[in-house]
Amino acid sequence: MSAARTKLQILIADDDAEDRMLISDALRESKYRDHISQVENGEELIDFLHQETKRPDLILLDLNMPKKDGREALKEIKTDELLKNIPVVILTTSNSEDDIEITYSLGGNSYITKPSGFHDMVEIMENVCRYWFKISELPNKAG
Amino acid sequence: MKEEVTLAALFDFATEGILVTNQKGEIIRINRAAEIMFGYEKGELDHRPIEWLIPMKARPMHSKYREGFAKDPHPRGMGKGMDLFAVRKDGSEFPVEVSLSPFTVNEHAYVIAFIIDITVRKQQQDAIRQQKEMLEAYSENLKASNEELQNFAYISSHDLQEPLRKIRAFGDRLKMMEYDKLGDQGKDYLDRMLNAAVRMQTLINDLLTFSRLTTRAKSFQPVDLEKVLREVLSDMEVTVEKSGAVIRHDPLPVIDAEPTQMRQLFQNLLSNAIKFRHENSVPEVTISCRTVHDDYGNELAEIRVKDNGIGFDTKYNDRIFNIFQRLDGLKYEGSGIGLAICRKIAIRHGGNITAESEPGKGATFIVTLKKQQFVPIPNEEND
Repeated sequence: MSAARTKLQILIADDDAEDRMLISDALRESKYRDHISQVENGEELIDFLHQETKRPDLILLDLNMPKKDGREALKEIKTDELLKNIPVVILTTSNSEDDIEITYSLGGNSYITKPSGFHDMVEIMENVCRYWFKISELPNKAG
Repeated sequence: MKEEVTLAALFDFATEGILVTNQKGEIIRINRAAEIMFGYEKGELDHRPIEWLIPMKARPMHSKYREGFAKDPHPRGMGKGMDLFAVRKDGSEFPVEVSLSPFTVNEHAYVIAFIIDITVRKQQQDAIRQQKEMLEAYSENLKASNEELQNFAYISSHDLQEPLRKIRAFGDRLKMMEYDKLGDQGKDYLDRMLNAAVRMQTLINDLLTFSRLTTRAKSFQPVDLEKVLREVLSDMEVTVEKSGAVIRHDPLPVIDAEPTQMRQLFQNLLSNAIKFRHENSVPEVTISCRTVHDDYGNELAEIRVKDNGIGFDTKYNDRIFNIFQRLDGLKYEGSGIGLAICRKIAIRHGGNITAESEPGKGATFIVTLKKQQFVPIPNEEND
């Protein structure tokens, strides 16, 4: 039951500080983002999400993190009544097909392998944000 | 009369041990082979109880068996698949295989026993089982070592890629933000740095591919090379179209091979054939195939991939199949591992690869692959 937002509140979960920096820089180029928050691991992610006032419109989730990795966190989010409708886009260095399958089976909304070029990252973030922003505006979302 | 003599001779000279017992379990007839087998003098065992030939601890059991057998006599084998032991005069035990046949004469019940000393056979079986266990242990070790290698290769490449990714990402970002402020030399240096990072990424990926030729190899299976070629050409459709290349080929056979590696082989050879083309002429690639034999008489498929490209000096023939060896400097794209991969694949398949060429006149790469590979039969429990 979120109030209509004009832009997206985005949460980045990644244990690598440089990657967090690159992702948020790439997001800044996107006109759809409103506010960017960051957490370092799965534990912090879940704690953050349980604070109702801070719930994001989109989560960018790395898979390999200490203290509860992305897979576990994804599972918890997608089985939690209050959290399961938040779109979770996996953003990882892994290009293993196993990880793609795991993501899908746990209810992940998309799977992106981190690109090498910054330009590519910007383009990807632009596309992801536009998609989920449009979705969030639809009157009859599923779920 | 004659027949009795023949039968008697058969009995006495049979190499198998044969004896006959009566209902009381007394040995009433025994041939020389049996006496020798058990270490007795001629006649020593006449009218002796059969239990003399049974190891002490098994005697009580054996009497019971005899009683049971007498009640329901039928031909049977004993000792098959079990460890049945008999005892010699000197007390030493040895493994035997026994088959029993009951018969009746004048309402008296008798039993014939055919006995084989299987000491040697057992030893051989034990030796074989030992060898098998050793082989299995060796194979397990190999598997474990392979997995370790694979993990190492994967982790190294993964960990090595990470800093490279950062270099490219931040370099790219720098370009975006500060390109105009950099000045010509600055721009040049930055571009060179980023190019180097890309090359390094390619190198690492290629090394990983190379190591996976052994660590991730699937087992040999019948592979239709026609189909493989079709699929590779389909994957390369864009390259082929862009270059206008014309590709002709002989029908290719079905051989025992590792399917992924056959793809890699054809992919590398064809992409080279097109890549190293003359600037202003239509690249033509011809693939031919015939059967040859190796020194051991094995049938090999000899596949020739001939192009009309720039060719090379064959004094470099050995070098080009080494890892990372390139003859052209950095002019052409690629890390130089393609031919090393082809060679490794060919050798794994019991063949080899070589090249014929003249500078300016194209090149022919000749690959041989064994048509049949030994495929170990899965383990079946032996009797």
